[in-house]
Amino acid sequence: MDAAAAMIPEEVEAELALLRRRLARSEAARAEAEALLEVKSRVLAQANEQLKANREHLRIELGQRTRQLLEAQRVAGFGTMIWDAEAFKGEMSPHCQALLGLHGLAAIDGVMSVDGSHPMLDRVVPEERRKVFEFSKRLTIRALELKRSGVAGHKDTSHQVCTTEDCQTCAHMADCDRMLEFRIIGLSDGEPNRMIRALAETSFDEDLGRALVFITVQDITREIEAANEADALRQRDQRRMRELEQLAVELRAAREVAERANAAKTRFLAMMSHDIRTPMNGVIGMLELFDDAGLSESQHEMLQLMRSSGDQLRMLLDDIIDLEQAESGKLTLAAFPLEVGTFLGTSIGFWARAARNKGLTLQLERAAFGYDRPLVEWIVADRYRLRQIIDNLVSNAVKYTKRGGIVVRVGPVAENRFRFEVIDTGIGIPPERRAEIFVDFGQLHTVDVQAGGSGLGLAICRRIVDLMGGTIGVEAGPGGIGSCFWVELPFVEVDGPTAAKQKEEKRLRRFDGGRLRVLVAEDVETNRIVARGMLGKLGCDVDLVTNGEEAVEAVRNGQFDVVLMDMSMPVLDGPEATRRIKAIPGAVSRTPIIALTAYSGRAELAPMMTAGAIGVVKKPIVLEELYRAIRSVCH
Amino acid sequence: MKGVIFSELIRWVEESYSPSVADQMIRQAQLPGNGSYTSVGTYPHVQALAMIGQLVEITGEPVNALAEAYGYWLSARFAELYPQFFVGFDDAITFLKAIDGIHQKEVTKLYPDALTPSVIAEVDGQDLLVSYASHRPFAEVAHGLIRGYIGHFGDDLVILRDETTPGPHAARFILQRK
Repeated sequence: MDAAAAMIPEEVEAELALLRRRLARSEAARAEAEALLEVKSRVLAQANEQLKANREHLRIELGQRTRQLLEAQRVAGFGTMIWDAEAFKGEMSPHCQALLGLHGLAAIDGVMSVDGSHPMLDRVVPEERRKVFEFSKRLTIRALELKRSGVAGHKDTSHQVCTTEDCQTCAHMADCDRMLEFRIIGLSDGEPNRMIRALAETSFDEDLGRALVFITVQDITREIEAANEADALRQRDQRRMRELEQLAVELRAAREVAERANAAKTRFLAMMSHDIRTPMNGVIGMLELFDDAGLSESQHEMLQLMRSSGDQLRMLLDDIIDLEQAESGKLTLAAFPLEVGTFLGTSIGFWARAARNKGLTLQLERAAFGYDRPLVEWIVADRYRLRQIIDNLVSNAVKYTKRGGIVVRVGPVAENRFRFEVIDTGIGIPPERRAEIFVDFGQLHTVDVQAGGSGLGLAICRRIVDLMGGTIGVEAGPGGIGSCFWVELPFVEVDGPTAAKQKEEKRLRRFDGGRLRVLVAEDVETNRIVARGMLGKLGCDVDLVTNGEEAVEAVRNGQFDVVLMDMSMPVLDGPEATRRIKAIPGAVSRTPIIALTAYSGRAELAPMMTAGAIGVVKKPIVLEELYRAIRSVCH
Repeated sequence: MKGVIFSELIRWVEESYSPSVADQMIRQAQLPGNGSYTSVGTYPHVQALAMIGQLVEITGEPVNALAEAYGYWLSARFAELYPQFFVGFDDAITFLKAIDGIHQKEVTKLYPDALTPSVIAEVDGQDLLVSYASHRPFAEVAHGLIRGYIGHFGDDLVILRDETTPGPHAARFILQRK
């Protein structure tokens, strides 16, 4: 080595050393590069494995998503088709194949011709094949236009590509043009044609470089049927609505006619009442005044019959008016203190003579009705309406009883409720007909008519009792004989007057014991005579005038204790005369005025009451009512 | 910094001067790996600075002139080593405009750890402004590379230096047609 080294020149030695260093650097670099390569290879292998795993994951994911999409299509009832406009090839989803009746035809291809055979067009009913063909052609051309333009279009209109996101105009135009509804032949033999709706969108897929038509297909047969059914229903409803509207018009017209008729009836009743009451006043009043003394028995009976008939006639007239008021909701109640015992005694006693004439007994009894406290003495009540109920029930009992008698029982049933019963031994009422007798004109049979019933009395009683918040009913009498009419009413107890009440006597006196001086203003002579006679019977001095003007003058010049003022009179009527009297200076203006009227409705009475009258006596004048009216204003 | 810059630097010195100058430069620089570099490796850029510093010592030439000359030489080597980067470009301006958007991305794909400099090219009227910025002081190398690319495409352009942005870390070059 030393000999050899001695032979190598220094320059060469240096060159060799340089080369050795370069070689060492190269080898070191190579070793480093190989090590790096090894690392990179491992990284690459791992990346490759990861890539494979990712691809497998994506494949599974894609499979799941595809199945979900197909399932969604099946559930939603639509299928999809993608058509390559250049290649004339398409792919159909399974449900699309099922909807179109093209099972197993996942891929379709070939140029569509309206005249030639094509699996797709063959499924369309012949008369609509051209329409489907034109639709397909139009979409194909548009997709190709999109590709030519080189712009990836989301939608297209007829003439240009629109790339604006959510372009409303474009969407509208596209919607109008990209939908087609057509019929296909039934899916099986004998099945009717099906209606299909196709919705298409053309696009240029930039990544694939393909002009595509994406189509969704839906069977809308049921939808169309439902729409037709809904349309038929709507038309039927509209027809019914028109019929109902027509019916409403007719009902309105009928109601107006009925209302006019009712108003006419009310006016007629008011007039009739007035016109009947005036002559009736003469008849009944004269009968009241007729002196029974000196008459033979048969004459006496005839007179009683005439009086009874008069009473019936008056009650019938009152019933008709009351019923009319009840129907129109005008029936109202007054509220005044009332002594129960005296009131009932007087009311029942009124019918004593009629009962006696038929050979019947009539008794008033106190009863407990399961409540052991005695009935209170003074209550607040509408005396007139309460009397009306009692009169109706007792008069019926007298009317329908031939033998035996009538018992009226009265007593409390609770702390603020009392009951009275009218028990007779008459013909009775079959249980099945007991409800209807309280209905208007609810007479039972011809016996009722023969007995003189109008069929209105009990109906009015029921309405009054309803208004008072009570109940009324009927059951068989004790032992199943006759009837027991009962009424239960609530009441409000009040304190009675401190002074002991004098026994009633039908003689009117001034407070100083002198005779009452009464002015009667009445234009009808008969009524004047009746009034004078009755007032005379009550022990009064009577002055008569024939119109309102004379009445005003008489009051101005005379000293009267009370004025009976007819409402309708010539020269000056009752209300105006009353106003003038009330306007006279001095004490005479305080002279109590009682309206004398053949009208019975509250509305008709209103002018007199407004003018200053404080009481009412209705015609035909009943002595009892006249007595009470005068006594109530003078005592 | 990518190893190709180091391995090509040694190759340039060997070709431009001599293998012994390159060997001397390496030995005097006292590099950790004794100057063994592989182009796919990554090394601290201070080692390149150390080698250039020794080359200045050995040759007595200014550092900027050496760096610029290396950049110019390197542009031709890039064309040889990475021809795919030059496909589709017909002129230097288009090529330079694509460096930031396309080339740097490709480099990052291959070497995720590479810290590439920012090279922004903007058209200003008839001119092209190229802004270089890096945490490494290689503005002169960039100058040489740009000059090399102009030569590669055979464009008739001159490079002016914007002197308001001096320094080895940043520079603005104005490319004008002659």
